[in-house]
Amino acid sequence: MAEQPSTPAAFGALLRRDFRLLWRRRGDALNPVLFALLVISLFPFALGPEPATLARIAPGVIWVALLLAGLLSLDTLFRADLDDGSLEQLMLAPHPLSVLVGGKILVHWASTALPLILATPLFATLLYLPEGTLGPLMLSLALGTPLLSLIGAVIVALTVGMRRSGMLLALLALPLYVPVLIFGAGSVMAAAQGLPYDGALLLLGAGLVMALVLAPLAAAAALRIALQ
Amino acid sequence: MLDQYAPYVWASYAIFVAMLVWDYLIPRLRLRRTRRAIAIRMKREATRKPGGTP
Amino acid sequence: MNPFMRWLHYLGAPPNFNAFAARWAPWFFLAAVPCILYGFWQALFVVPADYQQGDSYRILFIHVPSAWMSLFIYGVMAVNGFIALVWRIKLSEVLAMSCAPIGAAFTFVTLATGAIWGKPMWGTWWTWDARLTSELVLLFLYLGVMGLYAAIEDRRAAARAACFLALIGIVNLPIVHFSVEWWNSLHQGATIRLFGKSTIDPSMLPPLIALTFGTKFWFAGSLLTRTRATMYELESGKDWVRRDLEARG
Repeated sequence: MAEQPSTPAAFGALLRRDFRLLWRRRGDALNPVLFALLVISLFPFALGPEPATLARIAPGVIWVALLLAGLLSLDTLFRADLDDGSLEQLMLAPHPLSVLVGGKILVHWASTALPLILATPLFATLLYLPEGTLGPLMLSLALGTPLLSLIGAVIVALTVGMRRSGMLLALLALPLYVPVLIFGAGSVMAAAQGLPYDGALLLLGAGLVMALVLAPLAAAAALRIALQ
Repeated sequence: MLDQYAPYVWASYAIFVAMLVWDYLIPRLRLRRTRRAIAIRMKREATRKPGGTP
Repeated sequence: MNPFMRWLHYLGAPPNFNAFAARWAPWFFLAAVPCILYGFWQALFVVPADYQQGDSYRILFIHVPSAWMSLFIYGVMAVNGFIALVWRIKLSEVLAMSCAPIGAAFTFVTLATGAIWGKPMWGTWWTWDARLTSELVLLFLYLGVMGLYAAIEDRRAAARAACFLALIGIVNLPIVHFSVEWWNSLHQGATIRLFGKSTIDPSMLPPLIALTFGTKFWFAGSLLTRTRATMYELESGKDWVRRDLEARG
């Protein structure tokens, strides 16, 4: 039998596999973007097309749209692997499950959140995002979306295998998402008002660092609890 | 006694009492239902034993 | 093993807990009722009206103990959840799950009485200040635990998942409170301070203390009863249940 691969090698292999699987369905990467675009488009219809109105709510609406798009796409994190039995194999692998789960979260974020972040300038234009706030917005999303993915992964791991868990997932994730949304959108709102916004971004950054360490561990534990 | 705010005060106290009543009754009703279900099952098994239909 | 641990081990066995709960729950309720009634009497008829708020502040004597209970019960739930996850003790699982509806109920009362108090006082049913918003998130946490527990078929796995969620929630709650405070400070003027610089006048203490004790006793009685009811359901096939049924008629 071949020599046992090291954990970093296993991590790399998992990334390559997941990216390859993703590439075969690369059209799916547009789904969250389309959803966010639809949500954002609803607001001018609901509130009227005046630039002043839309500009005031633009940072918040963009943040909420991306949050919701991310929430809806969370289900795909483990679904495919659960259905074909690969998830069980991952859990039995001789490598720390948290590392493997971390890899899956990374690929998932790259395929769902990254397109959203790239589309953000478009969203900003549609909602007349105030001058000079696109930078803080992109920065807040760069810090916030991985945080949302990591936190969401824990919740999805806890509810893995549940059919029709959509509503429950949203209920469980919301309390955890609120602080991220507050600091994320809040930093952009502060920037829009000319107030200092680096405090909020630093807090997001600190949260991200903590989540990078803790969330994969928690998600691995949650998987074991959910799938025993 | 209580001034113009009386309805608000009474409403609050009423909500509190209603919650306590609900909290008292629900587990009792559950327990009663469970016991009844078990009693029925025991009776059914008692009548089945002597006959012994598989 | 010291006597207390031995007693806890003893209680862990379902028939023993059932007997314990059946015996002691009524006493807790019996202790709770006079405390609550005394608290009501003091709050409504004895304590003088507030200088600024008139009589509407009497809602405080319901609102504050309920808020304390909403947090206290979550703590009890989290502790039992931790025990359940680490030592896999079935009784702790059920205790934790039984806490959730009671905690949610007190949280709901806190929110409702807060809104009813806010309307005459500050002209608004709701305000997004840190305390009320955190309380709302707490309600979502409780509902999440209950929802997750209900959604999984296997009762023990469901309890363990919900306990894990409860532990995540207890870390999350102070974070939410802090973030909402920051958010309110950012949007200055949007907040109405619900609890101002008011210091509690000593004459206001008797009803507050009475209702604090009363709600704690009530919680103990309710927790024992709910846990007993759930244990009965979970163990319905076992012999001790049938024997207990026959004994109690």
